[in-house]
Amino acid sequence: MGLILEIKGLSKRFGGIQAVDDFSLDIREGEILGLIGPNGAGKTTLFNLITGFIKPDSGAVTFKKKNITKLKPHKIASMGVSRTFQQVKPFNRMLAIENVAVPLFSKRARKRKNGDDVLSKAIEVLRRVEIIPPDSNMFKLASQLSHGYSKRLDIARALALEPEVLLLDEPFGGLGFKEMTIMNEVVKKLHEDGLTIVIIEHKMRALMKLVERLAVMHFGAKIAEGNPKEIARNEKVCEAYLGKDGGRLFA
Amino acid sequence: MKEEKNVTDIIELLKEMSLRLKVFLLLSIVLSILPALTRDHYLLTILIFANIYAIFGASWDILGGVTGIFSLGHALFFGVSAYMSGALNLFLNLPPWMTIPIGGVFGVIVGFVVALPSLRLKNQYFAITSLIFPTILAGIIYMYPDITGGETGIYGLTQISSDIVVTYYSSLLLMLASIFVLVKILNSRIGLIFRSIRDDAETAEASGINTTKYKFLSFAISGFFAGIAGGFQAHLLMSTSPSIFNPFYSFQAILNASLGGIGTIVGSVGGSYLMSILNEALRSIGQFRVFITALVMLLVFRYLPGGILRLFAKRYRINLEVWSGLKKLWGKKDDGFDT
Amino acid sequence: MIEEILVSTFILGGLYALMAIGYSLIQGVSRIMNLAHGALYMLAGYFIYSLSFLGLGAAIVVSLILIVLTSFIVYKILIGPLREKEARAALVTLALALILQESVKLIWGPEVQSISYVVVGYVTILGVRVTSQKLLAAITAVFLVVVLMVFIRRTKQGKAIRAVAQNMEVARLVGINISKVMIMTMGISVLLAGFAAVLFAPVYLISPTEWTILFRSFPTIILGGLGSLKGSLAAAFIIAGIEKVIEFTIGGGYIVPTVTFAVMIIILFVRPAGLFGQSTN
Repeated sequence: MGLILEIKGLSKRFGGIQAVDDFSLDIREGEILGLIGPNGAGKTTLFNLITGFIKPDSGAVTFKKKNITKLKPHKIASMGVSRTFQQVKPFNRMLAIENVAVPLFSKRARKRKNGDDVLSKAIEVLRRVEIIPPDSNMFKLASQLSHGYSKRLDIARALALEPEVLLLDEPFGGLGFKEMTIMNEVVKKLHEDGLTIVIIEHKMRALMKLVERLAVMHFGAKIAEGNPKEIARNEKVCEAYLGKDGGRLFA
Repeated sequence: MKEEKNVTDIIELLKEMSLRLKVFLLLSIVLSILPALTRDHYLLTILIFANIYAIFGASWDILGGVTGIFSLGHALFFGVSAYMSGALNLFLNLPPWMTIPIGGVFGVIVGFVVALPSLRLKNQYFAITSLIFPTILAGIIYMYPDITGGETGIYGLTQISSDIVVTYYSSLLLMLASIFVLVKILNSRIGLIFRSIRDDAETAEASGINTTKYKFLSFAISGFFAGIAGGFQAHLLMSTSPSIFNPFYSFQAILNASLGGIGTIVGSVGGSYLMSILNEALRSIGQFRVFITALVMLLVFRYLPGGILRLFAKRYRINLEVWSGLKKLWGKKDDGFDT
Repeated sequence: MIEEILVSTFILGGLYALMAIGYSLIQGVSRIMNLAHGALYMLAGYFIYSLSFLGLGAAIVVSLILIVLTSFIVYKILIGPLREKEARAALVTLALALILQESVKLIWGPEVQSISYVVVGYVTILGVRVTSQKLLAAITAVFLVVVLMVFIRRTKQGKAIRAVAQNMEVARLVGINISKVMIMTMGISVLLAGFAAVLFAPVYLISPTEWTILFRSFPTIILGGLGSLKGSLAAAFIIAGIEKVIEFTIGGGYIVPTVTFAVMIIILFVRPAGLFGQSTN
């Protein structure tokens, strides 16, 4: 299993704030990695840098040995790196199923498709996030969906691109217990299907059950990297979250 | 026996057609037989203008209502094409049926030019810029009266036809064809992508859509139809002048589209016809015309932003914008479906 | 001729500065494009003209109160409910401006109108003879802008306005009362337009289409950058300067706005955020 995504020395400054500070990380193909850190640590900014929504001041990102640092977001998405957003950002005035259909008209989807039926592909993607047709939600306007469905629709949209790397930004955000269980299953299954997944999350317990490895960010820099057990015992990490007198994060 | 079969076939065909298509046909038929019922020169003229402004409104709609790019200076496309069609007619002696489509092509070119700032500027800045473009053009025309005819403009263009009825049918045909094409685009996958850009351009980019390319496309389509409308009007009036760049024409397009139903394309037809009727009704109190038009604008934008058509759509639960690819899920009809 | 250009630039720049800043304040804080901002200037002018029988001082005070009241009522009914929907709000203000244009035309007639001077007499600057009103207008305009700059920078309320303009969410989290800030900003913006009328309407006259002064101020607004008071002030004089140079060398009329607008668009291509960019005052 080689490295599918390599982040080398990425930095970004906004006015007086160093949002991302010389961040480096190697992501192995097929792994499921968690990205954590206190609020404002720069996690979402990192995602934005990787996916081309923001240009870095310095550093590089390579995907399958190809430099994607300066590329536009749609190009990066078309190459196989897909993402969701922290706030659910669906196409509000379009139907749920239309939301999923849009990526199916991207360059990537058109290249891979063999004249295949867009509609069946859309339905197939919805299935993968447990929105099983005939589900009346499919025909609801995206703005009318419940939060749980919206979150999964977002993932469906990202999946429709048939990505190799999936960047999820707080997939469990705002979800209740039942929804979280479904989401957990969805993400696990996606991992089993071979996708490389990077997850930003604050809900530690849910995250720990999913990931094999973690990277921790604080003030834009990487302060720790390792498996969940190591991270839990890492002093710097505890300090970052709880301040100098913090004890263990979790037993 | 054969005759019976033909009639049954037609009835079957009619039943299969969507509600929208039926309305379209009905409208086409009604508007087509109108001249037979009334030889009123005056009424026909009003309707001709209504048709032109329906196309103009729809051209704004595909850019603004469907793709989410609000141009406040759509008169630019209209005016440039009017002048170009006129120039081609006057200096190269090309007939209207040639100058008008070429006018449309000039609309596309202008569309590409205006698309450039829309990519770089934030929405508000672009709105202001688009508002000002027509004024710049009018200014240039005033500055070089020898080439452009200055304030008086250019005149002596070939008429569409000396027969008002023929002119009427031309305008009707042009309008129906334009609206038909634009609606097809709205419901196609291009329309789907346009709408995704409107709803959330970032998400569209993240979904692998080259938003820049599609924005250009939207401008091109919008410019083409606005250009056709402009070219037609130039030949209708047999002249054109810099007053065509007046912001008020831009607002008309926005009003027509918004009154009927923003983002629906067909709404522009209703809006345009309604405003034409309103305008004529107010002819007697001429000095209140702009006032009342502006008042309607205000009320529509404040209280009825979706337009009249959307009120109907909501009540009868029809979705006007939906992608036609979903047809397979509920049979042949593309009414949009019941949410 | 240079002296004439300089002096008239100084005067016109004052007007552009007041209009640009008044508009930018509202857009910066509420994200709403108030395309009827110029109409406030026009309305104030006409009010002063009509109420001149009260004596100029009273007329001015009453007019200012009237436009403040009008704008608050209009905001409450028409614009406020459209808070998140900026495109719609902008179109509403546009329609409003047109309605005001026609109303003014119907009430006062379509001709150009002059209103009373605050000060009479002449003064000579740099060898150029100008009316005292013009000089007063220019100096007062700059003075008002400077006062505003100090207010925004030094006072608690001013800083609150800055905060909301920069990031409304964060400002709210920090405990700033957003509504209060909005009301205050609106008041300031309206008063700026009103003062502009008091000072400059006598100089440049008013008419039912005078609300388009806003459009003529767009180059200043855009060049100055929406967030920067200093930028707007500088941009105002730069634009006024360009316009006066054209006027005095090539000629007046359509050329002037055409060239300025063209320049504005070219500059926007190079610097999409305006000459003075995103920096907050």
